[in-house]
Amino acid sequence: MTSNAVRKIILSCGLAMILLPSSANAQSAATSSAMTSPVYDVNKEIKIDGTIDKIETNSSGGPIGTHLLVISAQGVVDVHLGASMAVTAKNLGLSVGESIHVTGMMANVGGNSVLLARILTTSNHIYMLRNEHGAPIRSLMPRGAASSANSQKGAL
Amino acid sequence: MKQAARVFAFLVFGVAVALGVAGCGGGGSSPNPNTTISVVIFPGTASIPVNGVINFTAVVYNFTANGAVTWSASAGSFAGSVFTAPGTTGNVTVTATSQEDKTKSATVTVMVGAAQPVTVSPAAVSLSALGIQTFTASGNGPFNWTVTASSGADPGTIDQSGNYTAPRTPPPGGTVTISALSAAGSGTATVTVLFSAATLSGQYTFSYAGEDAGGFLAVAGTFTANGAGLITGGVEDVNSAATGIVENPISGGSLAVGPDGRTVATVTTGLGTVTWQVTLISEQHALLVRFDTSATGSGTIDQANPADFSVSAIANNYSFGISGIDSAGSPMAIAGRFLSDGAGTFPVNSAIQDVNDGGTVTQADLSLHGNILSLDSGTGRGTLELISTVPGTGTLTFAFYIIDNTHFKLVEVDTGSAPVLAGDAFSAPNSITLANLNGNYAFTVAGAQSGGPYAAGGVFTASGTGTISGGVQDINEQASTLHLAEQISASGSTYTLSPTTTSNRILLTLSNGSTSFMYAVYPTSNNSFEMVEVDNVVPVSSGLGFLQSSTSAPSGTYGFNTTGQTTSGEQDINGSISPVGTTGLTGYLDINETGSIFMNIPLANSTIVAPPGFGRSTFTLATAKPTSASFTFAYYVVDNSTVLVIEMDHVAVTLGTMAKQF
Repeated sequence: MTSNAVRKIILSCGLAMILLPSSANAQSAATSSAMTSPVYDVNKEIKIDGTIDKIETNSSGGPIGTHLLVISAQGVVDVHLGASMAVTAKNLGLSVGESIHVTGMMANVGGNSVLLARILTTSNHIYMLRNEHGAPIRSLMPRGAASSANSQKGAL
Repeated sequence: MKQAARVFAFLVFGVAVALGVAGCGGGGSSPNPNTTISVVIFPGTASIPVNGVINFTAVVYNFTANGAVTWSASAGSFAGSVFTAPGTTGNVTVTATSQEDKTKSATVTVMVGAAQPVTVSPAAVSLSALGIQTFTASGNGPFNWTVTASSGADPGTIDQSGNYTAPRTPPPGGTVTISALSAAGSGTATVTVLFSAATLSGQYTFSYAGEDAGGFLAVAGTFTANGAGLITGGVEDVNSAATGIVENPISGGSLAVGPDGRTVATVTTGLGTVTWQVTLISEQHALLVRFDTSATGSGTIDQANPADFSVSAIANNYSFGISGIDSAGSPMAIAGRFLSDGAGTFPVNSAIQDVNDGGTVTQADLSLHGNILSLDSGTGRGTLELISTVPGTGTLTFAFYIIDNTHFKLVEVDTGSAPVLAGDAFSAPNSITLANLNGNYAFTVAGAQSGGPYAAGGVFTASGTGTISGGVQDINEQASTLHLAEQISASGSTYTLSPTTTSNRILLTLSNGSTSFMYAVYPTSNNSFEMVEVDNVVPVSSGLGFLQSSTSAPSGTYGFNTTGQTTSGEQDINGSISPVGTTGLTGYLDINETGSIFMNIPLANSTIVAPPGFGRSTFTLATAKPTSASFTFAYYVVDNSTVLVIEMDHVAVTLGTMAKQF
C-alpha cells in the first residue's frame, strides 16, 4: 500500500466505522433497496470532448476506481474509467491537461453522477474500457478459496 | 481486444511498487518497513499444578536483527524458556519481551492449581507437528500413558515410557491431553500442537487466479512436499499473457511454516522463482495467495490422492464452475455439468451449461460435450476439451489436475483468440431434483457491473419442493453502494428444474422485493453448488453455495482468505484469526495489494458480532499501526469449520472464506 493509499483507507475506513456498525448488524430491520449500478444501454450513450482537469482515485462516494474530471462543453464531467489496475491513469498514459474523447453512458452510481466510459480516445490510443453490456474489460471474476469448503468435506 | 487488455495490465505491473519478500511464515525479519515488532507466546494459556513446569516458545515477528526474547513472570521462576510455577496456587503473568525492541512484549496467564496425585512434567509445552517430547511422572510406577484430543481428532502417539509424538495437524482447540495413571492416581499435562514443515507431506494439487503483468492470471498444478520443508518437484500450467501459456516444471522449493500455519513457500519453476503465502488449515488443505511483486492471486492447496490418477477413476457426473475473461477481455463465467463415462468421453445429451460472456447469456446449452485428451498417472495432470456451439466458446482445452475422483482443478490452455478460464469440477448427483436444494444455503458470488466490481452473499432457505421461504443477503456495488442484510423475500423467490426434460439443472430466483436475481445452479455431491448469474441485473457474476449446518458464531482459530478489487487493482489477503473473548479477534494478516507485499500484519481492536439469524453477521479486521487499515465483512456460517465472507465497506470489493484450523 502506498502512503496515499493507506491514508485513503484510513479515511474511508473511518467513515465506514462510523456508518457501518449500527446498520451492518441491524439484520431484522434491513429493507431492500434497488441496485444502483445501472443497466448499460448503448442507446443512451453520449460522446464528450474535453480536457482532463483532475485525475482521482476515488475510494468513497462514487464507484471505486479511476475517475477523470473532464472540462467539456457540457461542463465538468466525472468520467469513470473502471477499477482495475489496467485502467489506472498512469497505465493509460493519461495526464492533466490532455485532450480526450469519451463515449459512455451517464449514470447515478452511489449518489454520484458519473459518465461510465466505454471508449476512451486520446491523441494516440483508443481504449475499450467496457463492453456493450457495460461489463468492464479485464474486470475481476474471483473464485478465490471458496471451493475450499468442498475440499474439506471431500473424500480425503 | 484481449491483447489490448493485457497490455494495459502489463504497463501496470511495470510500475508496481516493489517490496521484497523475506523472512518466514512464522517469525522472522520483516520485509515491511512500516510494520512494528510483535511477539506471540506458545502455549497461549495454561493450567498447571503448583511447582509445575512449562516449556514456553515465543515467536517474534518483523524483527530486524534480533529475534530473541527475555522471559519474566510475576511469580515462579524461569530458566531460559522453561518456567517453574510457584508452590502456591493463583494466577501468574508470564511475559516475553523482545530484546530488539523492549517496548514490545506479549503476556499469558498461567493458572496455578492444586497438586495432582501424579505430577507430569512438563505440565505444559508447545510442540511442533510430529515433534517429540518425553514426559516424566512423579512417584512409583508403572504408569499407563495415554493421549487424547477432542472431537476424535488424531492426538498423536505416546509410548509407555512417556515418549510422545505430536500429530501432523493441530487438533480442535489446538491441544491434546497427556495422562499418566498409576496406582497412586493420575496426573495430566497439556501439549499445544503447532504447525510445522512436517504438516505438509506428500503430493498436493493447487490452483490460483489473479493478476500479473499480462493481466488475468490462472495457474493450476501439483507439487510434492517431503515433510521436512522442501518441495521436491511438480508441474503447473500457467495461463498468462506475461509468460505465455506454459506447462511449467516445478524443480524444487522450500516451505517456511510458522506455528500458526502461515507459511511462505518459495517455488522454483521453469519460469523463475515465485512466492506463495500459504495458510495451512490441515495436512490436507491450505489457502494460497500468490505473494510476490510480479503477481497476486488467491486459491487453494489440497492433498491429492494418486490412486485416482486414472481416466477410469474419473467416472462420474461432475458439476463445474469456471470464470475469467473472454477473448476480448470481458468477464466471463460458465457453470455446468457433464458425465464422464470412465473411458475419457463426456457424451452429448449428458451435459449442460450456462454461459455468461460479458453479459451475453446462453442458458441451458445442451450442445456441450467433451473428451479427456491425456492423463499423466504420475502427476495427476491431464488435458481435456469442452465443446459446444455457444458463441465465444467452441472447443475449449483445459489442463486439469486431479485432487481425487470427486474434485479436480481446471485451467484453460488455448492459444490464440480464446477465453482464459479456470475453476473447479466436483462430483455431482446422477440426477437433479428439487430436493437437491433443501435447507439453508450460504452463498457468495462475484463479478462485474457497469460501475465496476460487484460481490454478493447471503443465506436462503429452500424447501426441497421449489419454494424459498426467506433469507438474507448483502451486496457490495463497487464499494460505493452497500446493501446490508437485505431480506430475501418468499414472494418472488423460487427455484425450478429447468429444462424439466433433462433434470440436471436448477434455475434459482432470489428476490429482495425490488430486484430479482436469477442463477443457474448446478448441485454437487457435497451439498454445495456452482452458480452463475443469468439475468440482466448484473452483467456477470458467479460463485458457490453450501448447505448450512450451523448458525453459531465461529469458534476456534481460522485460516482466512479474501480476494477482490480495491480502487487501484487486485488485493489478496491470507491470515490466521483467533477469537478473544466473545467479541474480539486477534491474529495476523499477509497482504498482497497489487504487487505490494505486507507480511505479518497484526490485528488490533478487531471485533466480531454473533449472528442474530441465518448464521449471518459481521466482523471487522483492523490492523495495528502504522500499517493502519480496516476491513468490515459480512459473514455466513456454513458449518462449524467453514465461513463465507464478503467485504462490506467503502474500501474494496472482495470475498472469500474462513476455514477452521483448530
